[in-house]
Amino acid sequence: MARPQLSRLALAFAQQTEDLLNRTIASGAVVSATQLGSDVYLVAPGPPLGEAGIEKLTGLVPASIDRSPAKRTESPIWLKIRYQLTLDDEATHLTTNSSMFGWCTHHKSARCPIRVEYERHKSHKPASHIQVDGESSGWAHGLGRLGRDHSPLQKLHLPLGGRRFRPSLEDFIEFLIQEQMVPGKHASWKDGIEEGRQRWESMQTRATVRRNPIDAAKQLRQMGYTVKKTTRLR
Amino acid sequence: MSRSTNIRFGVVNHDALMSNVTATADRYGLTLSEFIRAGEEGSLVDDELRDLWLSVSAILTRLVS
Repeated sequence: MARPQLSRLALAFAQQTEDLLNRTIASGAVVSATQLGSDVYLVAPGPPLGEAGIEKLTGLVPASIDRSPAKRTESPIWLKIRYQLTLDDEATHLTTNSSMFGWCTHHKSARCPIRVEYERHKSHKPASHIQVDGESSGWAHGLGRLGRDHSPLQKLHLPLGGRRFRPSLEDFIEFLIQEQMVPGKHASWKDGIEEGRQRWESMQTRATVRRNPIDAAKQLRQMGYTVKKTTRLR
Repeated sequence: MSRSTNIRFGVVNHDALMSNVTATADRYGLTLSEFIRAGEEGSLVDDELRDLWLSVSAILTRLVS
């Protein structure tokens, strides 16, 4: 049985993600939350997973605002989205174990030439990184100068802002729209992005303060606030 | 604002989860423990395996240990 707090927060997060998609570059998108364990949820586009396991999960949503569901499935571009969520150490706030946003060109093979990934506990690579499936003569030339064998560009994990300041889904969607990498967008897409971004930035700011209370208090005092430590502060 | 009218919620059966993960890893010539080790090291290259790892790593490592 999942903790009620986690269930409530994970479902709310799924709803917010669904709203964001349907206000920006998708129509009729459904985002569900699946309980993987007592303290882990998977949030991704598509119907919820049941007894069958995870094999039906695609995490893909067509980047199409067409009103026709049939036409949406013909979209040339799909997004892959998934979040693995849990509660933080205080069992109070939602935290992300891992996440992935992909710009995908084929929904059956789920080929995603651009992937933004985050793994909270990763130690061998940057926790937040982007991978790009492409060719670069400069990259190949640099490897040659280092005496290294050729390695695909997509094996590079380009760092992105660390745990707290990594890109949000709003940032990724905005990037796709601005670079014209999706076929369409809703007229009020900016409103959806801004609302989601404010929520994300507020959440990340509060998380940063929780992990750095001394610095936060110091800054607030410099700004004229009176800050008093209570027993709840560590 | 577009809001869904139903809560979409599911629960995964752990036996089915383990069976599926093992079968997927096997298709790439990996045992379950090799898959977990590669995931923890960040050395999974195939998108399908990486997707699987990003989805279930937290619960998978707990079920196996």
